[in-house]
Amino acid sequence: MPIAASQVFDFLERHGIGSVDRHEIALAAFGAVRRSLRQIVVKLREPEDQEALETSDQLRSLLSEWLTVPVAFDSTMVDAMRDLLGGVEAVHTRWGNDIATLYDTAIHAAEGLKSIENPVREKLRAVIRELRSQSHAIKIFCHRRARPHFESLFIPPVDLPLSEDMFLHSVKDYRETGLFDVLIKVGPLRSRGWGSAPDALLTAPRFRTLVQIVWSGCSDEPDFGYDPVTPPENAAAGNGAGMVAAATTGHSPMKWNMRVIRSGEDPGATSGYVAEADELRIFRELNQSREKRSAVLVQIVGEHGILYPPHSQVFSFDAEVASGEAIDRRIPGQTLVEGMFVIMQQLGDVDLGGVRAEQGHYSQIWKERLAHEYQADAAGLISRLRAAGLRLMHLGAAVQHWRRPPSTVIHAPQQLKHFRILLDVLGLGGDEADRLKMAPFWHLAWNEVRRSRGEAIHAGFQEHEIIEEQLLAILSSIMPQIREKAVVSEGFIQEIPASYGIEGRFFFFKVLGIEEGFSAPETELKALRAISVIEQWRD
Amino acid sequence: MLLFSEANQEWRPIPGWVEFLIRLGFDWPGCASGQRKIALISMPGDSAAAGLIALGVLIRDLGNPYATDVAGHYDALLRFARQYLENCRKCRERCDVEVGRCGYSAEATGRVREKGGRLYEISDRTDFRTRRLALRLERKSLTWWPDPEKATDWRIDGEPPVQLNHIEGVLTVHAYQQIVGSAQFISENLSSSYSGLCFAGRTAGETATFKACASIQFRDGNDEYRLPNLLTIHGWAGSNVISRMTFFNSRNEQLDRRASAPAMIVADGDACFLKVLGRSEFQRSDVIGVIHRTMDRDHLEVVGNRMLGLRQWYAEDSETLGQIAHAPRGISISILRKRIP
Repeated sequence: MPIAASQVFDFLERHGIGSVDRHEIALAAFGAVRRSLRQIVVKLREPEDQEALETSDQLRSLLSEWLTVPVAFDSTMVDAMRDLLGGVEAVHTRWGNDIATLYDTAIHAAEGLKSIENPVREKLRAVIRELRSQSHAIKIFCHRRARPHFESLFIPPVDLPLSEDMFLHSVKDYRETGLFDVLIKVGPLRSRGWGSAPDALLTAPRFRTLVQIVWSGCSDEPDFGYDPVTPPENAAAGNGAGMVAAATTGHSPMKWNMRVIRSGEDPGATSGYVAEADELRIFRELNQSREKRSAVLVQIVGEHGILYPPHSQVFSFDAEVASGEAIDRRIPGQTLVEGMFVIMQQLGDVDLGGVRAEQGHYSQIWKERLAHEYQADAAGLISRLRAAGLRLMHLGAAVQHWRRPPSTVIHAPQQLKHFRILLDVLGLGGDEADRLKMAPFWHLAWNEVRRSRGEAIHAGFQEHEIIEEQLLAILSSIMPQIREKAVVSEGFIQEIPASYGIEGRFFFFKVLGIEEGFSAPETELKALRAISVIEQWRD
Repeated sequence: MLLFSEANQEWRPIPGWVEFLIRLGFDWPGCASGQRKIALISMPGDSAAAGLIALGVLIRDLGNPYATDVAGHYDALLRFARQYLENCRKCRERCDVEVGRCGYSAEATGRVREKGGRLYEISDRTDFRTRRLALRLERKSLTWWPDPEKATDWRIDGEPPVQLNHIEGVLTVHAYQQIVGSAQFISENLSSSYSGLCFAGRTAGETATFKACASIQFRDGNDEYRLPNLLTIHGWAGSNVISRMTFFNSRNEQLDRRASAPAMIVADGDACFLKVLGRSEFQRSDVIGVIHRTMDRDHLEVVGNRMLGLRQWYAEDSETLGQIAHAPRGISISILRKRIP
């Protein structure tokens, strides 16, 4: 339940002016990684080449994470870059000298970082220890996936671990939290994308002090702390230097005093170290120039999610509603909230290329082959995949993921191009037609994957209101079974009873979180995707 | 002294933010200028702020001699009868006015209730030319011809009584007087319903709106008053009491009674505010929208852009803003007034 408004007003009255302690950290070696990767990201945008764009997106995602999450400086940084681009020679052959030189610089700088601790982590640990010693009530605002990086800072018995209630991951968490002393945030204040946070941190504070730890050059969004009441002429003022949010004639604005504490290497004093640019801002501008639609992420179980265009009417189920309104069309973030279930349907008469494979039929074949090859020689398989052109970040982890047995979704590469490489390497990619179905194996298997991801819906099928009404009636009639399953499971399948004359099933996925701030191509919307894939569409 | 409690927490004097919101509603200027006003109020968290503003407007209207549905009630019954006899009785859509595209905002069931509680049906013998309404007891042939002078003895079934002649269901002035000391009251208004003020509830539905309002209560000595009862929304405080405001359910977009366009709407929440601004029947009404800032940026921007769009036709209303007390820290307000062409 949200905090009582009277408590909030009493708090604001008592603490008229809040404080922001902004720790800006500079490190030459990390600066070299940033600069090199940033330039590669920008250069890879220049050619009209899909592979270059995808690589650029993945690199952008990698660097954005390092700038907004307290990651450890260990071998995973270098591995992540190598997983994505391969060796320097391969980069030289594929992308040319410029990019290979930048890549080499990044790799060398990242190798050098392995011997030191990330100063952001150091600062974070010191700040939290000090606040704890003063018995301050602390909260940390971060993305759910960033949480392990914070937790790894405090290992018992040296330190008490960070408790679950110290973390805030969404605007809903923030809305429902009580009052506390200090909020900790890593990365700049941004309303969308990597390291994003609710504007309410500044316009509706529940704390006295904001401790912000940022890499040098990463600036806050100028209009962070947005209030729709603010007249347009004042809107640009935002937080800015004065950190006065939303000043207008009709109210007393929140006031913030900001203190900037700089630490690390002084760019002016270190040879070859120039002042940092704001990569997050640059990436955002790059991203906006491509044809994408803004989207809302509905995160579901199993590290998967679905991107919807804003204000989509999503077919969903609310177990807490007793009446006939339990199944309804709801708007993510507005009427569709955490704890409800999104419903996707897979209908027998939706034909994607003449294929009518049962779910899991083809996947059993290629997954068995994959498991066999992986057990026999995992490293060899990965290098063969890479040599065949499957250059994915964390390829090893991806292969392990694809080996998992089908659940409500068939775990497989996200792109047809990658899927075909996988089948080719497994020796299943031939174009010879299936004897019964008269279609190549890869085609049948890919359609099976697509169907498991609910892409029938994406193909516009859901637009047919008449069928939707029919489905609504079916769902209402099997409500007791749905309710039973919803109590015990976060994701389940409900078959359509044969008596209805429609062959198919419904997939129910519990909503674990809803997040805005994504821009994705049209083809990525309304389809089930792994969160690791969706991350690249963050603004 | 009147005490206040929120979410069952301890009793305390009325806090500044509550007093401010009630006064804002109470001091909201009438529509003498003829220029529509739209206000947006943003709060630092979710609250019953919209209900408190609506309470202030309700108290203001209790002192307004024109704030009553009594005068036009016989006409309202005739309109209801005409819609029933000429449209709804024959309509095959039971009842979705959007699907039927009939131009009405709700179905006319043809059922009318007498003050004693008996149910009647509009009769075919109603004569619109001579303005004679004919009613008959359900399933009986006996016809009644209500006297227009005593039209308030009848009410459309499912709606609040228009005027009460007995004590039960009549508002007591005490609580309202305690809440706004300077308020004036007209005794007739305490026993008659009014639909010129509309409370538009959250898109999460009527129950969610009721729950938010129910978190607020006042106490004077041994008497306790919950906000939903003070708001007199039909069905929130019993069906046989008068109602001084209509309720617009923004989830299903239905008004709780057949009423002409309200003079003033208080909208609870961003989505509700946007819906109210978009509805054709509310285009002449003053609107006060209440949102909270603990929302995602996209939702905040949709509201901000809507306000920005309005500025083409509306200007900042510093005059009205000047009449309102200074807002407590954490509340921000913007008021726009329609430009004179």
